[in-house]
Amino acid sequence: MKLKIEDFCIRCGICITFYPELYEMDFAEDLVRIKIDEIPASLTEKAKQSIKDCGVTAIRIKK
Amino acid sequence: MASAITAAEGGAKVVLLEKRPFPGGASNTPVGFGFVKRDRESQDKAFKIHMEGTLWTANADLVRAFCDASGEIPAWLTGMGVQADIPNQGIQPMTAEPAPGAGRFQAAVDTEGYCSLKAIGRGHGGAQLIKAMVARARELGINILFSTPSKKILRAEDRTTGVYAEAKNGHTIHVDARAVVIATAGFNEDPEMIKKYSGYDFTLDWYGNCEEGDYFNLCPNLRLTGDGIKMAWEVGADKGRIGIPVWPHVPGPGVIGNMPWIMLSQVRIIQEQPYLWVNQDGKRFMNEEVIPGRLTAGNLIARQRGKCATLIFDDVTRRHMEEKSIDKIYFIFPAKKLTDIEGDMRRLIAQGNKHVFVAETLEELAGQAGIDPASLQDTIIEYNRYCEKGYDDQYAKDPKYLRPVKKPKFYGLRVFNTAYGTSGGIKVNGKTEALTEEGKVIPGLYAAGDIILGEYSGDMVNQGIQSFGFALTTGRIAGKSALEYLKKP
Repeated sequence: MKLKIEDFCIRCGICITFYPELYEMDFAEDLVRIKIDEIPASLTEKAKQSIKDCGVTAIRIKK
Repeated sequence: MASAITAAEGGAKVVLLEKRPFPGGASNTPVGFGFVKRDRESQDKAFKIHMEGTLWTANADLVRAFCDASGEIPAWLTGMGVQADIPNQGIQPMTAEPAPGAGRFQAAVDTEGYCSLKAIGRGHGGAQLIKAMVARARELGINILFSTPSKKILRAEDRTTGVYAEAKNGHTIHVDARAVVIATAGFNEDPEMIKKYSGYDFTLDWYGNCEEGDYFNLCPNLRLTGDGIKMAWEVGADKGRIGIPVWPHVPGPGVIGNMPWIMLSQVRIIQEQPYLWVNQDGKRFMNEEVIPGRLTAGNLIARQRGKCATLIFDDVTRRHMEEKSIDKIYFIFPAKKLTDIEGDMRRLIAQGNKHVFVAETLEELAGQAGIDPASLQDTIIEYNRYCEKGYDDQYAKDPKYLRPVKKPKFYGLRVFNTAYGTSGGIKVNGKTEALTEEGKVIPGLYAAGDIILGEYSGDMVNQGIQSFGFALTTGRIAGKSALEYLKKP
């Protein structure tokens, strides 16, 4: 499973606050980064929850 | 965005220049907005009470325009797909804030409605609204350029002719436009402007290095540097009234997340409680019932030495909050009872939060908070006396909130003023046309939202509330005014 962040992400930090293992803020580039390319099984549930928690549905599963 | 959509709906060709790589900025954060009901009686009443509440220091033409136009906003938004819950009348109790000089909120119960925006996930309703507005803007053919900050407003022969903006690749873009609407929000991240217009020393480091006299930025990544205000000043716009709509918060790690609605600790709820609050001199300074009226509390905190205050409670009150209930609720952080308050506070202390205190004695608490211990002792003896007799001689606080501070352990939370944004910067008339110092209209130049909120709030330093409803409404007014102007030869 791979994640992607759509460009309409509002940088609110919900994902970074609750799922720091998965996301980080890049202040210089003004964007949110996904820290892990291939999400391991141990973090799959968290990744799915982070998709649900996003305030603008900007987090998607990369197909 | 509201201006752009309004102008495009009226047939104008619109370019929207957005500094950030995403739309909406701070407008992604509100949970809803207030509006004045669409009947003449309510509009008249709201106008009169607002003006009386500001001692007629607000811009009467703009206030009138807001009262007359805000009622159409909910239907306009829901018509473009915004999901909202709009009661027929009446405002949510927590928005009826008894802020000094804001008498309008006493009348709001009768005259205003409240539009509560549905949220997606853990976000706020504002984000859902912006998403729907962007879809509508694209449907109308508005050209939205992200990561393209405006740099200069262009004028020629007393006419507005366009804007210079900076493209992603660093090149300058020249946008020809007969009308320009500035809706760039405030200057929350410009330390010099914060110092000049609020008297605070600014800190971006909201994770804990807040010291006495500091103001910390509640949304440290909004990049609000007053760009639009400065551009308007460059072409001769008058400053108008400027202030800061403060919101007291406990700084430091562990309390709130990257955005202020992300609550990470119960401390955020405890700081809304009307128990004993003291300043750095160990003195009470308010009837704590004003909590959680954020502007009122903020005004009071701003006037204390060090511009901060400490909420103090004892173990009996801790148990009261855990076993019975809390006494005040701020609508963004609803709760009934709290759990393991001491554990929660000790977790923050372990994370390095310098504004959360747990102590075995009052002397120890005073030492941790930097408060004079003898003075604090005197205050607490006096306060406990009020609690005993059930009457607050000093500030007439409702007896139900008089909870003595007697039994160890003792707990403290130090609160500072913060803000989402700032209020005002550009002087306008009732059509939101920018005005010069001489009061002359700058043809083709309009301003909307927080950058004219100071005009609406009048002569208050810590001013500005209902800013989202105001931004949507004045954005729409600006769009309509620009359309009217464009129709002229």
